[in-house]
Amino acid sequence: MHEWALSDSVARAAAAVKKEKGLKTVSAVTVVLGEVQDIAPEVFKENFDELKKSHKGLEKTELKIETERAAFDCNNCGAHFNFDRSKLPHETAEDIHFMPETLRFYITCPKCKSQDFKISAGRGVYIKEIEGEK
Amino acid sequence: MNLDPRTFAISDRIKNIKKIYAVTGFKGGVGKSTAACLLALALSAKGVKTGLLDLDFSGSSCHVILGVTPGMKSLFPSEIQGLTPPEVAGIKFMSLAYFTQNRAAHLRGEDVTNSIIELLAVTNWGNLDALILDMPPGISDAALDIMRLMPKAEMIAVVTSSILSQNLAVKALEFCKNSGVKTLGIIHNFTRGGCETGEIFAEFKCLAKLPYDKNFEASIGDIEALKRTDVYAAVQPAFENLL
Repeated sequence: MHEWALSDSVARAAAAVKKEKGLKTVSAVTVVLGEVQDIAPEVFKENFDELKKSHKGLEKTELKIETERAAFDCNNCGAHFNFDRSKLPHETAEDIHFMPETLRFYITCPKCKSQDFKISAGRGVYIKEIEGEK
Repeated sequence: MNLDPRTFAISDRIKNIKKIYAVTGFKGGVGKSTAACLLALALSAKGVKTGLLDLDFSGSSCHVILGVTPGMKSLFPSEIQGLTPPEVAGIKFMSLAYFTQNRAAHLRGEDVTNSIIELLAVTNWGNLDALILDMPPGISDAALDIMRLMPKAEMIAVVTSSILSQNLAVKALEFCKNSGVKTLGIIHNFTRGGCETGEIFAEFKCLAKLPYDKNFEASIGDIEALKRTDVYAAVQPAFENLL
């Protein structure tokens, strides 16, 4: 699965932070999944729970998942807008799932119709917090 | 904390790639994509496990040169521990074009960086002897990102006889050198005789001299026809310097 690679990235990032901060174990990792990429939380968690076993100190790490609504700022007119992912055709939704930047090839600013806009929130996956014990 | 996890996976994704070559040239229109594709075809034809990554997002051409139609209903990566690129003439071929439905890829610098990181973080190349990168023109975001994220990549600069191409390439290669990036050598494209780069590139090995071939255009999109061109024959000398 495509999600596997992103779950693997989170496990590797947590292991790197553990090492950098001198932690003995990582008790929890909080990740934020953006609306644009639309990663399935249950698949993401399932992958992470398998992948964490190969990192010392992460074997019992709890993965906490939050989601973030997508928001866009038009570079042309300055409008702030959102979108309804459920209205995207299947193939387009899949393209955006794999490569979130392609979103701008398919949707436009509702005010000026420009396709030049910034994804200001909810793009993809990021780590919000890593908790652990020394 | 707002930590991007993707960069932590990139070194693992490329750990089983023996050599990475960034085919650049810095100036547009010098034949970077053609050289990158022909090098990949030549390597693959000799049994070398080869990958090709088109990083010229706004000017993606490799799929056109190779004659494939990227898309979910035609040619698309498989979801196997990330995205495994499909093979074209034995080459594992990855491109943003799979996800654009043949639309213009208008990306600002931040988006270029994000797309490069995403592709590098999720692409499952497996074992490769060589990965060829088709670089966009210039030494802006994409070039700097590759230097940062794939430090073992070696530059191959495609230049023409034009002073415009050579002037820029010399400065850019000097920048690469000062940044600790190795340059394997140069490919002189559109030659009409000997290696016409002269003293200006004296410190770099001339890997190949590709002739101007008025019939080449008609071969674009047909791999077997490409392999019959004078340009393909002329790229062969570069091969022995690559592995």
